[in-house]
Amino acid sequence: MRGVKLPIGPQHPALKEPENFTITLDGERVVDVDIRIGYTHRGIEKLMESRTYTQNLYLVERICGICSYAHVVNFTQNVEEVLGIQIPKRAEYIRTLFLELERLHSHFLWLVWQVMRSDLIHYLCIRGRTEKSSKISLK
Amino acid sequence: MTTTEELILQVLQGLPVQVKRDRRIFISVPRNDLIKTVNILSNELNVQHLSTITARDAGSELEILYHFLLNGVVVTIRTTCPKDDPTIDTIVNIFPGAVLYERELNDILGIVPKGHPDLRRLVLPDDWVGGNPLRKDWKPPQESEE
Repeated sequence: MRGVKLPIGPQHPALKEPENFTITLDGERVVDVDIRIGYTHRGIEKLMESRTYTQNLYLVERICGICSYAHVVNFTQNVEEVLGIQIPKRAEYIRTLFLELERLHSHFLWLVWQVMRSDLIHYLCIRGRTEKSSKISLK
Repeated sequence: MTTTEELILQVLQGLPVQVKRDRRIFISVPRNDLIKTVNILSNELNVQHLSTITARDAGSELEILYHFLLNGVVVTIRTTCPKDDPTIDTIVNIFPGAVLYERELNDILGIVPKGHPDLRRLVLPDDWVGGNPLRKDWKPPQESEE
């Protein structure tokens, strides 16, 4: 069974996004893999060229569904550095707070994926994640 | 300054090095010296991680940036190539992980990595004929009238 090519994707239940892996097998050993991505390439860089900084905030938030805050802070810090903007202490605190909450949130999701097989832990993690998210409010 | 940064600056002595801020070191080299510089990072500093390759259209020329990571310090090699001869030596032989990044450069900016083993499209559709979208002079392909 040398050189058997096993295609996975672009649509497959185990994949979170459409992508295609053509795996070359030698017996049970994986000897090569050909990756094809780009099925959902959105051209964010190109879209950002024709928008203002403020409009881009909303675009950048949508790069990733579960980690919207990290991307937008990254973009904002870049713009601030380019334009030489100093932000107030209060804004720095709010940013740090939300970045840390997002970190917790992401780790919870990672944990959920790791324990998919164990229903109880899975639901405990999802519950913790949802409760945490619903309690965030900034007055 | 950490010991890693001091070590990097010591090894890179003589090269045009810029320290922009903490844990961020830039080296600007002409494209002919690219392989030599990457080899220095790989052999003398034992850098094993290529974070990514980015590039941009800088008006008269194309600028390519190779970002390497060593103990939390990002070392960026900055090089340029003219627009009428957008070729660059491939670093795949030194960092095999660069295969996909260099394919993307070729795909969206039209930079040709010389010696690359497999220059297929990466992110654009296979039947794309509209040129290299991240070039500043790029115009969207006109939709044909039925």
